[in-house]
Amino acid sequence: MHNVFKVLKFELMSILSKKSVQVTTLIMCVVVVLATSIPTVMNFFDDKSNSDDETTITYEDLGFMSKSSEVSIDSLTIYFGNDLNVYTDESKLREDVQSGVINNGYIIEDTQTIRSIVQNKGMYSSTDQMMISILQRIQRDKAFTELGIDPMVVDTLSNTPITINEEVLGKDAQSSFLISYILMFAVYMLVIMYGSFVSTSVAREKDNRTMEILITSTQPSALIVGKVLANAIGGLAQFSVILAAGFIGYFINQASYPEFISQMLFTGLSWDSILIFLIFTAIGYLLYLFLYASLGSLVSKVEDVGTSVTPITLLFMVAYITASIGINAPTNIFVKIGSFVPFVAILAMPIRYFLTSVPFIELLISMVLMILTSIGLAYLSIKIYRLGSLSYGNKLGFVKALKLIFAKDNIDI
Amino acid sequence: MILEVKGINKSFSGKQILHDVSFTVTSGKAMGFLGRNGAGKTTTIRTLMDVFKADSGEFILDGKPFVPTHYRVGYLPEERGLYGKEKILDQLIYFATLRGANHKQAKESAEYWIERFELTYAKNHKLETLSKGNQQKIQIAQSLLNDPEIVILDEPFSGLDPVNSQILKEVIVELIQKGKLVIFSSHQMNYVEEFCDEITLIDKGKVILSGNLKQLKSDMGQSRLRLKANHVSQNELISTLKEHVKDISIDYDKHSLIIECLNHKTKQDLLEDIVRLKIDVELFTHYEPSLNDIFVMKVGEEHA
Repeated sequence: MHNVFKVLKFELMSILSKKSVQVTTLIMCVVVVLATSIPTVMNFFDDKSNSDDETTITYEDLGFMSKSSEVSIDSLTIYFGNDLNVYTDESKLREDVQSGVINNGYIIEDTQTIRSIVQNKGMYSSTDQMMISILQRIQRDKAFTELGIDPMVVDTLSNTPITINEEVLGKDAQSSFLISYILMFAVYMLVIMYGSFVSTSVAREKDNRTMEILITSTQPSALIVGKVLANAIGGLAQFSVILAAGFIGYFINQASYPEFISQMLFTGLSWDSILIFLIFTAIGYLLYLFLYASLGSLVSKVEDVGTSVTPITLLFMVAYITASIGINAPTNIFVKIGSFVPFVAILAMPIRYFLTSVPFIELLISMVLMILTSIGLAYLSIKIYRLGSLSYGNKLGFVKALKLIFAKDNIDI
Repeated sequence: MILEVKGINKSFSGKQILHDVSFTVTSGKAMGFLGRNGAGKTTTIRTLMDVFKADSGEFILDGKPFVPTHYRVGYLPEERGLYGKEKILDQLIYFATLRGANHKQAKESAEYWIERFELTYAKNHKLETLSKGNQQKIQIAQSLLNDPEIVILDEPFSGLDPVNSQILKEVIVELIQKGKLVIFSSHQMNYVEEFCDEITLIDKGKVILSGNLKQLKSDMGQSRLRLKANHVSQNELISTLKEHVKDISIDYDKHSLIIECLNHKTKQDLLEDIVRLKIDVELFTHYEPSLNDIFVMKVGEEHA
């Protein structure tokens, strides 16, 4: 056990002193801080453009012409202001659009048809939508007036404010949605990134032939457990720094965030859900790292690690998809079953817990299953690692390795 | 300490690699474990170090089964390897602590061996920045950390230049003088001949010779003599002897003729023949085979 700590210390120092790790962390932090500053940047530019036309909104680059006797240009001034570019000649309007005097010309054909003349059409035009609404409103008001109803009264009635006083007895899926998604993605990144670090680190010693010195110096169990823990801690350390950068970025720019985003971020978080998330993430993270260590032990060359660990990536994708389903439908039976499968529970159970009420016994069962699987995988990875010392050169198949381990127990760990 | 290797057998995928390998090593005596490439030296050493389990046989140290982790064992594997991207001092300290030293002892031991191998200037360099020979020295240094009681070096001389080989020879001699139990394997006989006390020759997984080198040389050189004459070529000398001297067999190497007396013919008889033939003797001495000669002879016998 003492040697586990020595291996852990050496491996951790090795990870943290790597320039690539330091540079990546720094870059990620900068990216995260910049990303969290996006609302501030957007507000900055919005403020500038707004300040130009603060008093009245004008539509100088629009031109209007009405061919319908029922729709007068005057009725449009309510919406577009008094300084309308009014045309009586269609060819003049076209000419102005072409020469760029105006961007967009609207010709009202009748109460139901508008022709829009534009030189270059962008992705989205808000004035098109506005014109449609205006014509609809003109028609509606006309119909109400004919029936002897004041359109203003209708407007007032249809805008009567209604209040819903909601009382959520279990969990509020709406408020937890965003934070669930962010945390799920965080765990995904954590496992995929640091998992491959573990398998590379295990394969590295076979690749550079240090393994024989190591296994004759200490127990393989100390080596594997120390290595996995070092990578786990290294991963968490890097991740925490990036996460901290995210929080700092958020708090610096907090004022620029719409109220609802801040609410979605933090009202979904309670101490118990944080605890459940941390427990399941920690156990699941170790479980996956031991799995990565097992498969990393199968290969003799670092360059073979990528293909060797592909099955884990696929397995983790299943967990990710299940959790994604869980975010939209946390009570789905598929998600419920998934929350008991150790490889899937890492994401599925915290998601279920965030979004619905999960009985304690279910949490416990899932947790115990994950712990037992992690121990099993740790044992397996140690055995495979030890077995790997006997098979330099060739890539050992996972199934073949299992057969060898269980066929004759001639490996001391 | 006496280490007895008793009847070790080992097979891989149904192919038997080691056949009843047995020999004894005593502390304070340099034991050279010699054989050609692929003879089974590394497999024997790996089974001794418990990297592989032997199919049968046992390793006994002072009457008790030998468990490497119960002793301070320095081991240089044949497959050289250390962390290329780690600093030399850091990784040597790491290996020393893994074998039970505290940080202070580990650092002292690591620094001692780095200095001994004249690499102090590079102690904070990454291993991969060193030349291959210097990396080899660091690998040897790792096996000598923590003042090991038992030192097992698999092909320690391969990759070393003559100067560094000399440093290593001195280190091995020093270990032996300190009473350590030292085993080293080699296929380069000339490197180890001068300081081997004991040798074990292995070929095709079988021990073909094991014992005290001086004794073996003396036994194998018995009734053989070296003869060299002035003013006459080797061929002329051979013809003269063949014509006038009975009961001898004549061989030669680049230094002299090697004459074996047959049918109870004594050295004295041969000397009388030489005097009678008035041969102008430049050299007349007993013949002691080199380790290489012994090796070639024994392997030849096995193959015959």
